[in-house]
Amino acid sequence: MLRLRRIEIENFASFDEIVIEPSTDPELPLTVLRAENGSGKTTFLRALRWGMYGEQGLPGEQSRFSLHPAHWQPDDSGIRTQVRIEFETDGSTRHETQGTDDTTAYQLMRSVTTIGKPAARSDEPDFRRINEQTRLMVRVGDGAWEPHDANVDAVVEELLPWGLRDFFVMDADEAADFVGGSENKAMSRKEVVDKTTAAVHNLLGIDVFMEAYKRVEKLAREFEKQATRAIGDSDLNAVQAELDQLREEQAELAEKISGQQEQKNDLDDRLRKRKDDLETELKSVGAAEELRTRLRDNRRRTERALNQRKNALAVLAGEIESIDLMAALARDEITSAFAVLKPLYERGHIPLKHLNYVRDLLESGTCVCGQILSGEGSHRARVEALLKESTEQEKRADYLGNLHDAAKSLAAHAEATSWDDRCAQHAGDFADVEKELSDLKLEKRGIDLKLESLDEEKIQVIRDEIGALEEQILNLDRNLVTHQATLEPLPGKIDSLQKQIHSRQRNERAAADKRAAETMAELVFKVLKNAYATIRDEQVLELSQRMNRLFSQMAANVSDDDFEEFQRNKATLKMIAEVGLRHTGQDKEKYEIYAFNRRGRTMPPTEINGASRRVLALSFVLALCIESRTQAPLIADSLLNFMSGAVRRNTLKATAQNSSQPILLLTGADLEARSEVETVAQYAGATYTLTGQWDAIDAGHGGDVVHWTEQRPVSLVCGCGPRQYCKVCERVGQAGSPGWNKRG
Amino acid sequence: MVNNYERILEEITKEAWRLAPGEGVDPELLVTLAMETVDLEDQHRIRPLNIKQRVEEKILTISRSQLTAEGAQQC
Repeated sequence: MLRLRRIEIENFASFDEIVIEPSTDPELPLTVLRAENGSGKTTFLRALRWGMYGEQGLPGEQSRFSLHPAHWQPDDSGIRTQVRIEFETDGSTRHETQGTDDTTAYQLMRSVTTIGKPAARSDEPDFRRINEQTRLMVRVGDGAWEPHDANVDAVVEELLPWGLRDFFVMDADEAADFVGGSENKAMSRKEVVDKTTAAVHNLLGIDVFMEAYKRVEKLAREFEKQATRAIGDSDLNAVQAELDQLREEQAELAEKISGQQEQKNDLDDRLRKRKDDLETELKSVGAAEELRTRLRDNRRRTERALNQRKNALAVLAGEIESIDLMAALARDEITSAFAVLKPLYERGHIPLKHLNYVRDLLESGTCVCGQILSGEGSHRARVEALLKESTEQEKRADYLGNLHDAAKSLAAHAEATSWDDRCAQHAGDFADVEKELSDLKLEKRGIDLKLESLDEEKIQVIRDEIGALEEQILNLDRNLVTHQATLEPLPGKIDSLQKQIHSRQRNERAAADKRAAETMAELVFKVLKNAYATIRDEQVLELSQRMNRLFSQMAANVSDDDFEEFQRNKATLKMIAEVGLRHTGQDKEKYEIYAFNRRGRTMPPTEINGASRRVLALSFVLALCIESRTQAPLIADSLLNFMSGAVRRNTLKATAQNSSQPILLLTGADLEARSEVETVAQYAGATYTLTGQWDAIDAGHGGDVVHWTEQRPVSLVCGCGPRQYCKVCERVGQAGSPGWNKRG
Repeated sequence: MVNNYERILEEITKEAWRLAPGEGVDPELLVTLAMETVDLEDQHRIRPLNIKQRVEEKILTISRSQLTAEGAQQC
């Protein structure tokens, strides 16, 4: 167990002098350092890493990293940078000496002096570091600090191994290396596997175990040889030499097989990746087939629509030629004419029917009044004159009579049909067909564009690569089979030779001592190897299950897919069905983190978005710490970046519940929601706020900080919680903001 | 001590009690020897020490004590 008690930083980048005392209360284990971006969170993490690991803990080109304060004029007297880390352990370190109760307190102090030096070139640093010192002190019974005699680096390496620096002092972007790197940092699968394996081996003690059983196995062989030599029998020595040779062959073959297996795994990975690429491309080809089908369908539908259009036009033309058109066009005029003509017709005024009657009378020779009309009488002349006079009138009346008949017929037709409706219907049909044709044209253009974008050459290149990879794997498989066939009888032969030797040795008292040691070593070897295999397989499976549970806890019933545009196509928590840790193929000594989607398919890390990767990496870190019973601080920067509300809340809670000393560096935005503030209140034993006040220093004031101190870039620290402000950290507009309280 | 100490001890104890009786060896002695070997290896990982000799000596000491115990029983 390791617990940080106090961190003092002096003259490190933007820090003059700050002191942080993380919570050591097991009931309230969380420590929160709230800081806006650019206020010193990362600087704090770097200072801590430098304090623990020296220059190798610094990023980039280490000698160029400025350990002195940002505002400093290089001079000969120099400036001293110091980080002092006070921590305690409960005896789970062999360096434990004396202390109160069950714990021993240590103080690790690292300091260096930076002095100015003329720079030959403008891109060279104008400083150099001298007098780097590291001291380890231990607290003795009376509370005083005394120098500790242990090697400082060995103590740090034991408690916080360099290889696990991203595990305990975690920049969340770097922690994502466990799952394939962050959004901006692609890592090869081998790098990811190596890093994950190193963490698992170290925390479960697998690496130590492996070394131990291999060493004891070698010793057993040594004892065996010593026993043979002790007998002094030349024949037996020859058998022993043969046995040694066989063992060497066996070891060489095993190494060769392991190397080839690794090579095969790499090829398998490449093959899998190329197959994925091919699958993606083939999906495009599949899409091409579908597109071609759609194109054919488009043609058929276009033809049909064109026919429909033609028919619709013909129908419309037919309507235009018919009597209905006249009836429709002159409906009002016909109706009014008919209204005028109809009573005339009914009254017999049109046509003039009585004139025919008069003509009949003239023919018969007798008028209706009884006068004789035959001959040359005046009456007849007058009637004939009247008839003559009426002829023009009769023609007009006949014309009007015809007009009446026509109007009657058209009016009747207009009433009987609905030409307008039909025409509207036909016009509608025609418009529909036109619309369909336009849509089909657009669809065709889209399909043509998609078809043009398909890259069949690329598919062929991938197919060729896959073919080549499969051939290489086939060759490797053949080699492996040959080697394994050679290896297979070796243990039997070795066993047989060993038995020969043992049977001869049994009779020799001189060999008894070594023989007993060999037996003992063999037994220890078996115990270690079997126990090792259980931890390697069973405990790792338990770890995997624990990891999945933690992931589910953080991702429970939530989705984190409300992110920026560039993340839209990435799989989110909602899509991840199961996560865990597994052996990498044949190699049981190497591990990788996996994530399955809901169809049981492995999701490559590149398909998982930033927030999900963080949650995945964190579930691995927490599960491994719990499984190995490692109690150490978890100092994490930017852990909650990219996460949406519910995931952020769950992650905060899971970290607080499952880490023995979580120290989280968060921004105000991480703690916006009430539930996050409540989680901090529930679990935090210590809260701090870092305030950088140089945002607008060139303008002669300290950004939006209200009570800024002096005109230089410096970060200040105070003990404010997530929704508090004080004289140190107060910002413009904070006073009176809802939910914010001023600390006394 | 190496991480995961409790589980390592648990698995080593199980294996020692499974294998030791058949070989006429005291299981507790085997547990001690195996754990000390792991511990030495862990120390060696952090700070190199003459580990081969240290482990060899431990095995010889335990096996001789075992031989002595067997001899005493036979007498």
